[in-house]
Amino acid sequence: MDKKKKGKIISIFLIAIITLFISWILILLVGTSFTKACSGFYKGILGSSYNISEVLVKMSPLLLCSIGISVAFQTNFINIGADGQLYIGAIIATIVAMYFNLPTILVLIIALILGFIFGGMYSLIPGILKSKFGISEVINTIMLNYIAIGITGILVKTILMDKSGYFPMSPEIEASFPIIIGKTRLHLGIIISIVLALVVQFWLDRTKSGFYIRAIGQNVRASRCAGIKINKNILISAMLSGGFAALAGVFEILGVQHRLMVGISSDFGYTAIIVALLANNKPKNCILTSLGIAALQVGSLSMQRYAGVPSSIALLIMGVIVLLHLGNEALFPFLYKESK
Amino acid sequence: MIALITSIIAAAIRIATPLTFAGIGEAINEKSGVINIGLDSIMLSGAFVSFYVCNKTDNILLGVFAGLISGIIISLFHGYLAIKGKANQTIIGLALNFFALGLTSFLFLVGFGTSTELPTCRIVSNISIPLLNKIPILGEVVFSQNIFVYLLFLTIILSYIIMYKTSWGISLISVGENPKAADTAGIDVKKTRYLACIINGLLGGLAGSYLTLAQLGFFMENITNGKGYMALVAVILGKRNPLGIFLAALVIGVADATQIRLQTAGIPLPSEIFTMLPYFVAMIVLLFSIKNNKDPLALGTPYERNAR
Amino acid sequence: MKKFITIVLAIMLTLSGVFASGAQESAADDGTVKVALLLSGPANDQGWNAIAVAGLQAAQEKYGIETSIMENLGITDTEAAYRDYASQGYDLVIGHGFQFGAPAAKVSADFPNQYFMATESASQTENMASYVTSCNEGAYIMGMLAAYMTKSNIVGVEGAMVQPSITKELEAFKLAVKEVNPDIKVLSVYINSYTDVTKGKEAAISMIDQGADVLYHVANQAGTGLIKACEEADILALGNSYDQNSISPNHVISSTSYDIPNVIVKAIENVINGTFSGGIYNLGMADDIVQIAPYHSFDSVLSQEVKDIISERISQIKDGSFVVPTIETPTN
Repeated sequence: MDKKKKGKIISIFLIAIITLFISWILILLVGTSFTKACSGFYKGILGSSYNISEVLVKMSPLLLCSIGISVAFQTNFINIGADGQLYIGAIIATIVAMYFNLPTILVLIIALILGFIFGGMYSLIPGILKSKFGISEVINTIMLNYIAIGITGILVKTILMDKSGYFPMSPEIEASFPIIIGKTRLHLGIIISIVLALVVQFWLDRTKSGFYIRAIGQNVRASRCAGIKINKNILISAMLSGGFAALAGVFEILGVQHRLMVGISSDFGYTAIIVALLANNKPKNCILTSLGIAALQVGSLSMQRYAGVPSSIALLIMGVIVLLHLGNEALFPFLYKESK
Repeated sequence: MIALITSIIAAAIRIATPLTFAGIGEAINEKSGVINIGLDSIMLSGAFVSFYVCNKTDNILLGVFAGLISGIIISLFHGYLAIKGKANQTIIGLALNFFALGLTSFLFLVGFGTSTELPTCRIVSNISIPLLNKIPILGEVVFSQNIFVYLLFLTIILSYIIMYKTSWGISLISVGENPKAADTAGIDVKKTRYLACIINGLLGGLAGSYLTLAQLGFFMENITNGKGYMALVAVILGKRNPLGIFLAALVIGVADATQIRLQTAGIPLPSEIFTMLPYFVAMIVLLFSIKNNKDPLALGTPYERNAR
Repeated sequence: MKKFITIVLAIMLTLSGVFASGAQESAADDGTVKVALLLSGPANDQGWNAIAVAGLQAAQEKYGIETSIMENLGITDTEAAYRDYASQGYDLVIGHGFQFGAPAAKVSADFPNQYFMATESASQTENMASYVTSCNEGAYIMGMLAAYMTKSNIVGVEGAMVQPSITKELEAFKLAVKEVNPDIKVLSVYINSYTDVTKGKEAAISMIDQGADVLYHVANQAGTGLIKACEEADILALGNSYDQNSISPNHVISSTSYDIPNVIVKAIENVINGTFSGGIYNLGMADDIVQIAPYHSFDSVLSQEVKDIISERISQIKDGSFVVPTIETPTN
């Protein structure tokens, strides 16, 4: 056991070194200096208070989606559909802001509540298909992503279109979550999402209903024997999962983008799966892992600005880290050899 | 009218070909109990490597071969992490998609640079089968195709026979349904699964080669554009049966081909409605086939001999 | 294992910090003009984005400016990119596409001494300008060419997305065809993607199957698929964005090309001379920004009469005696 733990720690360093090595080769291939690229990466994340705030802005939707995904993964509901659920939240937020003539504070609250409900309902579709009919949710959630993006595309060309131009996007939405630090895009949503991560963690750890969710993830058969209603809990986790992802969409519209259009999610829903995975499906760990992935993405974008390294490097590095992490026991067997 | 039907079916076959190749590979993979949603990564690497080799050597056969190898490498890597590493198969697939998209885009940019000159490669030509190509509709859409389409028909028949008529097919299914029983019966669970992964990589790589070497003759970033996910839809719709997958892919193809023709006929609806059509069709068909839709019992779960 | 990724990233961050400290800091401001270009897609798309990159490179050679490019920029990261370039002291930040307009306008307020630009957008501020190419003028000429070249009396046009800068081309194309010969049928289709080349090709084949023998596209990268379809079916194609004849020399009659390089060079000139000012600028044939690519091998195929009519119309558009209508919503 001790050996295993030691192996894990060494593997972390190994992965970091391999990742750096791969990045180094890639940067060499592009023909820019490695130090310049690193300096760009570093500055992009920590260069100024604005850069730090951008990491947090990016972290917020990743965190919210990954909280939901963590809960869903606990019951083995493999929700690949966070991206679509995020769009549903964004659509609801836009509709509420455009059509509900209410004070800003009410618009924000109603958008959050309705967004959560509709996102949850959207995620219930594959939830019901899985729990009642045994159809794999993996494919359904993927298809629902495409459908949600399609619905967004139709809406921004019809009832939600900005009539002053003919661009496929909604008018600018005035209602906004308060900005925490002036001159940045850092909105209240980041604090709310961190609090939510802790609350959900508490719910999973300390309450009976949360225990049921975790129990199913650990052993379906034992849970069923213990009298836990499997289907009901899958539905609960599916709904919560969709709801949280939709909240990310609400915050993106009312906190960051202020306009609905296709493309408001840069694959947040997919990236969040990786965030949840690296957090071992624990919402409180998602806070750190989402910060890490957000920093990686913001840093790579900055690396492109400073040193001309193609942005695809972020995808590549993310893929490498995840693959090495997932396969660390299979790839570095020598670290674990003498265990047992 | 006949011209329209011919044209729609021909288009459907073109759209269905890569989906069916990748879909059959995935079905075999899933039958063995390993789910790989990273089909896009296999196709993308197949497409890029085929293009790269064909562009440099001007040899199509070499290109296809290289594409197959790259597909197998990606799929085997997935298999290794899933079978040996016992990692979550869905997430490895997803990570591979990120990885392959990043890698191919990166290499394409580094290898060909930014310019307005389109780097191209040769593509395979159509082969008409004498006499048979005179049959109305069928002659044109089935018997005047490129080598990939004939290979597809061969693959469908062969994989059907392998999956349902051979002993290996039976062991494949038993490994996916009940690996413990299969193991007891003397079937090598891991070997069977690895072999399934190799087949998946081979067919996925072929699907990628088809895109660059038969359909387009050039490569672009993210050239698969989510076709891997579409192939997964075909696998589910076709209930993991090669013929079913082909039919499902044809349905997707017909939906896609029809939407383009409806638009040119001037039907004034937002184009997204048509773009979503295949997914809607898939969801609806899925709903109607609810009763006889069953995943292999051990799908997604690694096999541990000592586990209870 | 829980804090796994954080540890990895912390290590990477520290190491990159170590490397970074070794980097030579270029002098903060030595008077060199710095220009950045933001692209929504890949820089090597052999189309829309590639011509903008070419423009930046041209300006770099001409004026010795310092440049930087960001490709594949998602909508979510646009504002941050503008802001980061601005705070790095870039004098001009250019976004290539309508979606860059709003973020550019927003950021421009916080950096009053620097300049911002977006193409095809409708936003403007004191120090932010939108350069809109009147690409419908080029599409009109393409429509006329298609009408003169068709034998089947059916032509087709393929658009990427329903949005003003694309719709106005499709509509101008249709108008031009009808002006030459009202009996010609024009098929049109939007494929809902800028990048899906197989879809671009399928849509083209569907129009070819319906008898079209000249096709035009306004679909960036995806349009390359259309030209390939024309090549295979041995019918005629009209290119877009730049001279696409090289893709299929025997099938591409001509192309609408946008001299985006020149737009960028002009904007940079204005920055250097201190004459850059905010606003919305329409640039068309009269400004030599929208151009008609040479006929190449089709020079001998086209009759002198047709060539004369075309060049007559081009000069009418240039001197303003003929105005190509701008229709920004699709009609049927």
